Amino acid sequence: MYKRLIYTSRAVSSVQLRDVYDIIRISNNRNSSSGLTGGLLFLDGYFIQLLEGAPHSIAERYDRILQDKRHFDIEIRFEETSDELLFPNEWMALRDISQIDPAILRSYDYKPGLPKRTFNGDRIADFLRACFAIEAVFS
Amino acid sequence: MSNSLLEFEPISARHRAERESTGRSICVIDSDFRIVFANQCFWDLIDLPPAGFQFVDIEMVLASIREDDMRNQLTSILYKNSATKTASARFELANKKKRYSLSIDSLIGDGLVLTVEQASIDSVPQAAPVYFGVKDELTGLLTRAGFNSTSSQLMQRSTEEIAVLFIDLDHFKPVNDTLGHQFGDQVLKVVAQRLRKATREFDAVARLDGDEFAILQVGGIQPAAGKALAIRIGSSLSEPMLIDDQTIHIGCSIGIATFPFDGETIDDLLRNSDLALRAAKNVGRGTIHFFEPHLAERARLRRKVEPELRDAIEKEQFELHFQPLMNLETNKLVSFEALVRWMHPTMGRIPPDQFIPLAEETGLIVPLGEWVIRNACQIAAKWDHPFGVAVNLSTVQLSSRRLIPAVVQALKESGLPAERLELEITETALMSDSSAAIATLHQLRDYGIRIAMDDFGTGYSSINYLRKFPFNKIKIDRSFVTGIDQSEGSYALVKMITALGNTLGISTTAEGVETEGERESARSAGCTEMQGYLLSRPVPCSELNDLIGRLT
Repeated sequence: MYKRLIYTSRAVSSVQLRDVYDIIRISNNRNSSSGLTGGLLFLDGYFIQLLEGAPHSIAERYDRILQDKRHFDIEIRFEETSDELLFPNEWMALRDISQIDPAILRSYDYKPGLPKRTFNGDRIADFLRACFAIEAVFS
Repeated sequence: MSNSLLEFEPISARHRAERESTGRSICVIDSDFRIVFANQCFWDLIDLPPAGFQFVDIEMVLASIREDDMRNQLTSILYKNSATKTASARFELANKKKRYSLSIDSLIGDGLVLTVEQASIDSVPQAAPVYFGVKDELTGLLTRAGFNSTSSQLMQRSTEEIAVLFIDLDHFKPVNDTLGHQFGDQVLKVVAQRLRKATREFDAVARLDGDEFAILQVGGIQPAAGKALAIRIGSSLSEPMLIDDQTIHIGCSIGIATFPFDGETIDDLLRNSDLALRAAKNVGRGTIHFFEPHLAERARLRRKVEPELRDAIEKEQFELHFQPLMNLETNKLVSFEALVRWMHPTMGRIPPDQFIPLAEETGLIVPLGEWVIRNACQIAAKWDHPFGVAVNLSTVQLSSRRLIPAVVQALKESGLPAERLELEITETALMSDSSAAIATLHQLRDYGIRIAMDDFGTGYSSINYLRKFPFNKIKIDRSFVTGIDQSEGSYALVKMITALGNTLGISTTAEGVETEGERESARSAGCTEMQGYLLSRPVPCSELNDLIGRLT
């Protein structure tokens, strides 16, 4: 019923906290029409974003994301379908390493960009869930 | 319930530590010595959980402080000085080796503000600014003044993100009008209770005015924390209320502005959250909207344009442009739609989407609309060919008593036969005061004037409005026409609309025709007429003769 997608990308050097806030608030304002929710991490110059919602809306949004000039090296790291939403109500965002419990960073052996050799799709999804303190949803 | 809410917003460990070491503890007490507002610093200082202590007697709160030294010191300072109502004192906790400076300031009217800061040995306690009338009589929430000063205090020393929520009740006015002000007051009290329940004890909650409320939320990560709070409030306020055996439903719309992204001062934040609230209301009732910078731009532009608009109407700075409509079967020109253009002497050409909504909001659309009708009739009456002329009518004009006399006068003065005049209205014009609007339309139609429904298909129930009034024409919105030659779906829909029109004896115009393909499809789908750039863009009077020459 729902599609869930996680991508990582590198922010261009001029991106600041204000830009990240901007991305989130616009998503919040537009989401009532697109029905998408999710979570965004901005850590050490990398974006890690989870999007979920109707497959058609996800495809449309992802197209726009690919064209956004604020980032590059965009890669999909995780995709699945699910009957439940991890973020039913809202967009959440964490924008700084200090906002994440250090224990989580340690236990996942966090490295900037969540490199592929140590983070496969499932691991990224688990990491995001832990960061946002979301109970794991087993579909 | 309140306790579990504290877990919703993520507050970083770092922020909590910062607050404790550099923060200022603030506690506001009303004339009954009950705590009206206190920030998290205050609760950390006295090491008590905020839950359950708001609106409790300060005496009880102090008595609950576990640390003997702290309790005794604070109690004695407060009671020694409460009579004089202004004081500053310093005290020291022996075991922690910390020094504090405390100031008590009176509020004009009632109440006190306690401010406690950690002090170095040499620092002089600073007097906190005096607060005026901090509590709203009816609801017990902060007043606008109380909210402003409390918020300024918090923002001065804050390194955290802050959200200001501007809340407006959706259905309060009808309730107040039909059930009376006393009932309305009860509703406001219930609203205030629900707002307090939805917020944490250290968020500031205020009743600004009438049915407007504001909340200052400190220490959450924005925009997530603000959004979460807004959602809680939205669902709480849409729960039915039982008052005096009446069950009523009130909802709310919420605008959110955050610090530091949307403003540096509480004034900025309130203003911007108000702009966000208006944007929310434009989207629909019961919505939540975050401030976006372009809203401020738009507001600034409006403030600039409005006085100019009044001036322009007096000085007749407008011009009419005309866009042709052609019959798809005969390929003959039938009429022109008159569109108003504004040429400002210094600001240049101001597009209609920047002044028409403004004119509607200010009521200036009435004199402007009269100018348009008068001039459209005069110009059309002078044409060699008996083409029709169509003029757009807004909701505001439709409910003005000046409309019919103005139209009748315009026809008389120009000598234009009523049958050549067409008035276009959208379905929103019919939505709000529908029976009065329909009566007016009947009157106009009785004079022989034609009535068209514009932007057909874009509203909630276009077809329903066809039942309410015998329209002469349906103008099919361009969204159906664009790409109609490429889309089976659009074609089918237009065909359905024209079939409906045929059955009801209503002609149909395809709007926004830009390509030959679209024209051909519109024709074969059964549309009576077309309008659009394929034929011509709107042109000023001076170019009309050439245009007519080209097209006939």
